[in-house]
Amino acid sequence: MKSGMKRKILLTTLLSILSISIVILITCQIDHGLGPLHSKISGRVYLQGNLPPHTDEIRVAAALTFPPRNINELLFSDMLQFKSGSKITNPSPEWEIYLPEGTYGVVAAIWKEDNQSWNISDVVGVFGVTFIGNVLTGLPQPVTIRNEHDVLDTINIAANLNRVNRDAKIEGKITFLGKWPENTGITGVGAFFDIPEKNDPFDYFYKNAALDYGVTTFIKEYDYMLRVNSSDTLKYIAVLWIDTSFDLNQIHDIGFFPDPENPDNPGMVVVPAGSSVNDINITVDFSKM
Amino acid sequence: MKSNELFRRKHRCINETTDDRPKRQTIKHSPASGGIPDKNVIILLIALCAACSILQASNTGSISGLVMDSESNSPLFGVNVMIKNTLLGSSTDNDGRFFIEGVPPGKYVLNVSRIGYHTVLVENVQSLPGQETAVQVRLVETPIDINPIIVTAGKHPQALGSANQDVEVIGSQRISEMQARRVDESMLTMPGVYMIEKNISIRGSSGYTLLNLGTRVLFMIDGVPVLTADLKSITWDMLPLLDIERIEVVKGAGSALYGSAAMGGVVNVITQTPSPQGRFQFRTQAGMYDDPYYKEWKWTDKRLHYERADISYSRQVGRLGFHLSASRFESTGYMENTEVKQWNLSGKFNYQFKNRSTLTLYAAWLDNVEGGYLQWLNQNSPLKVPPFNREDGLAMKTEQIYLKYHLPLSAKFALAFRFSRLESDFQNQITAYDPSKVQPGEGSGMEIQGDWLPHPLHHLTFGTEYRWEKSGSEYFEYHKGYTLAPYLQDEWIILSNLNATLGARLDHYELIDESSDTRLSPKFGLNYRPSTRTTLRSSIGSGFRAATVFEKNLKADYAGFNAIPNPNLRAEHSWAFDLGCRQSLTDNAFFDVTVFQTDYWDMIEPVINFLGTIQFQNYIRARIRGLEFSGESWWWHRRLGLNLNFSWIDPMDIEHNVTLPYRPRFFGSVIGIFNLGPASLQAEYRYASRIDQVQINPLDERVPLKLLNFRAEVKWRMLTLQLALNNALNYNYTQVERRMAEIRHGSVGLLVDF
Repeated sequence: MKSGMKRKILLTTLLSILSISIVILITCQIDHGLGPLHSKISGRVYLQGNLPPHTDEIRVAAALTFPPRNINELLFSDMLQFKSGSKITNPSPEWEIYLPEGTYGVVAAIWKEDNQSWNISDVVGVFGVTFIGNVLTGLPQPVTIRNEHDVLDTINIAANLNRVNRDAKIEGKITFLGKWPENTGITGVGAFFDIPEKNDPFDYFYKNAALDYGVTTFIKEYDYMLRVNSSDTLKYIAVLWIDTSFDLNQIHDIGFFPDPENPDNPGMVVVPAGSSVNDINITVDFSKM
Repeated sequence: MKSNELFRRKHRCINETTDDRPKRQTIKHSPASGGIPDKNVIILLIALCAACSILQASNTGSISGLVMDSESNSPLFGVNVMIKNTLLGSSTDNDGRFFIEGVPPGKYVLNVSRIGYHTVLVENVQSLPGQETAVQVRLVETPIDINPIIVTAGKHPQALGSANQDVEVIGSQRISEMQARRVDESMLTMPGVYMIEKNISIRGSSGYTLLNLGTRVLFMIDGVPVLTADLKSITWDMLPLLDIERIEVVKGAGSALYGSAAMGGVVNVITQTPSPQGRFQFRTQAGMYDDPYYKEWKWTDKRLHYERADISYSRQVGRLGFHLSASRFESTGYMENTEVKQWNLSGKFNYQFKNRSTLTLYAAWLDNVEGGYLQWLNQNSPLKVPPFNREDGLAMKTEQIYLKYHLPLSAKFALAFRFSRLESDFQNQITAYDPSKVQPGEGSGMEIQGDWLPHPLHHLTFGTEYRWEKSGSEYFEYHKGYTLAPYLQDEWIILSNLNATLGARLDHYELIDESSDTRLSPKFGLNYRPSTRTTLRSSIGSGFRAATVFEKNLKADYAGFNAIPNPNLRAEHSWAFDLGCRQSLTDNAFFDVTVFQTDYWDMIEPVINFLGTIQFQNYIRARIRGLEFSGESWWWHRRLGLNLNFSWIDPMDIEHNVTLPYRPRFFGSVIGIFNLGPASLQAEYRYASRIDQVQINPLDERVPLKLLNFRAEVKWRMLTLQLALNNALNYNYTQVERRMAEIRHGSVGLLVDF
């Protein structure tokens, strides 16, 4: 075959490939991957109570499941615009979260303290849940986004700031006996209005007055401090342990502050306003876990 | 031997061994005949090699030759010529000539190879005492070279076809054709290799970390490790692109020769050899980003662009050769706060002594300033960053220097000495960091390596590596440590087409006043060539990676995340097995398929808990299995080519029965190439399946990676004009949550080479 003919064939082939490619590109629906979200949930947060000192911000978050296993399973709104300095200037700020289709098991308002990480325990309001005093009651109401243009704009949340308005504190020492389990994930200390039901993550949320998951692991002693509300009666102060799965459904109580009269039972603490109660000491014996 | 003849015939090699050439006496050189610059080195060598020096033949000959292109008859520069079953070799100069001296009398086989040409074996080359034997070789150009010389798999030069580990090689020509802007971009279409931003994962070994820290792939320049002392991260921008001669990627556990960090594989960048008669290269590239596909995502009215310029000059003056390079890269970034300003300088100097020993000095300097962020503002503004990230960024200066001395004591014994130093100075870090609280990471290394052929069927590689490191900051405290690691490997030619490798390395590493550990990393490999076109290979080896000081001790808050230390973090370790086959179908087609399994114990991964607290833990027992395929074929007199590769992996955390994060199960690429005279057109489609498991925002929408890229090139004399259109469909995707990948961009480039 002559070289001129070969070249013609090659050029024809190339032009055919290019033409077909252009036709495909023009006529076919091209996938552009990720796009803007149009579906969303929105509403207002109705703030009650006094603004706690050291308030950094409040946001609304949605999660597919409750409790979320991880802070990262929360999809946050922007920061609520409700305060100027230490004063509440807008007691019912609006919020919105753009979300893809799905059913979200919980929508909640979460308070964050200055210079601290987000703490799921600092929930100040949950959609569908009311307060009795500072205690949350009822089950969260799920919300469902059915299609990519669905807008649910009446997801209003009542928030009780007194729940995190902590004007007093309790302090003590946690003593760890025995060998720490290898699979220790995180350890915390919490003060509760009542003893939570074992294996009921709702109870650990609803009944907690203060919770700090920052207890250093693999040590012998730890001095803790919990900020609490002086109007609360704390019936249970306990050390909580979670393994490396970090699953909030797998919280274990590994020690509690005992009743001085009856050490087998939890002790009760009432904190006067503006004061501190010391020596709320707890012993954890890993050999009995 | 018969198979070698067949191979040679099929590759249309024309070679001659002439005895009727005018014979001349060659100058005889012994190791102690002078020319060694350092007396201390001499003393050390004499002590080490006294026992071996008797092996050196005092009455040797030499082999010289000319290597040419079979079609054009023009001489070929940079062709590797190795004498089989010896440690002797050379490469051709600009006139295509090579000269190997100190060859003991006898008959030899020459292995002549160059990327882009079929490898040729020249048999029955006779070396006579005091005489020079001349050889003429013509190489046939090929778009596929399935058997180039590599240096990384066995820590010495060997043909790819005789390696028992899976090795990928990409040469400077192909890197240039890919119009890569960084080293890592040139590896995007390698089977088994997946890049997430600057994190490299070989066979699923690594996931994602923000600063590419704690990599499971060892990065080396000319065989010298280049991982920063603090983060143990890869600085891909460390060297100018024009420095690169080729990149070798060894897949699977490499700790038996290279120690910690090589548990997933090794990337070795081989830098250019100084050109005998001077070579000047200049490359410039200017690119522009398109608007985002969705108008509401547009975040600036400015035209976003990037520019790159590289310049290099190399030359051999007598026994001294040098290669100097500089490059500049500047980009506005395609999204907010992703600007880059980067300078590179490098220099390589070679000196060949009369006793055939070589001294090489290489130094590279990088000054990099770039913006940084953790996550986008939100999915409706994915090209903007949160206000608190707008001033964030990273400024880093890095210096790498190495000195290598290669001393061939005889045809059967050689020593190599390597000294290296790497300093990485993070001058400022992300906002939460205070620059005054971070001290430069410093690492210095020394290595002595011996290669000894005690028997024609055995090649022993042995040596000891010592590495000392210092790093610190208020965020991960201050640490000093060292590693001492002897290693030994034997390559045994069992049959002419079957060889085995057995080796091990013992790493003792210690963080002074903190902890220490000792790890043995054995390896065994087989290579069997049932025919000239088929290579079967298999290897099993152990790997490990010591926990970095950063992973153990990091304590910092950033963007809502709180990192806490884990002083109990241990080294992770693995066993890797693979079985592969490379089949040459015709002179213009081949395929390679590999199955592999790697088991990990104590795998270190960042774990994020419900408080946003990050801690590195080694709680994962993982198993990664997979299959890789690559193939290439050319038709119509190499005018039309097709390159195909895909990888399937099953990366499982078998303790928790979940997929390991940030590893796509399937990824691959198809490249169509059309060459017409001086013009070339490439269309590339890359695909990676949706990542199953992520760690930070698991609820976010994730999509597969689908990229269509076009590249064109026209050559005219010393000029090459390049055009590229990347992400032609303007496809939007994230590899890591809330970090949008590059949108559509095009570039124009010009390469001058003379």
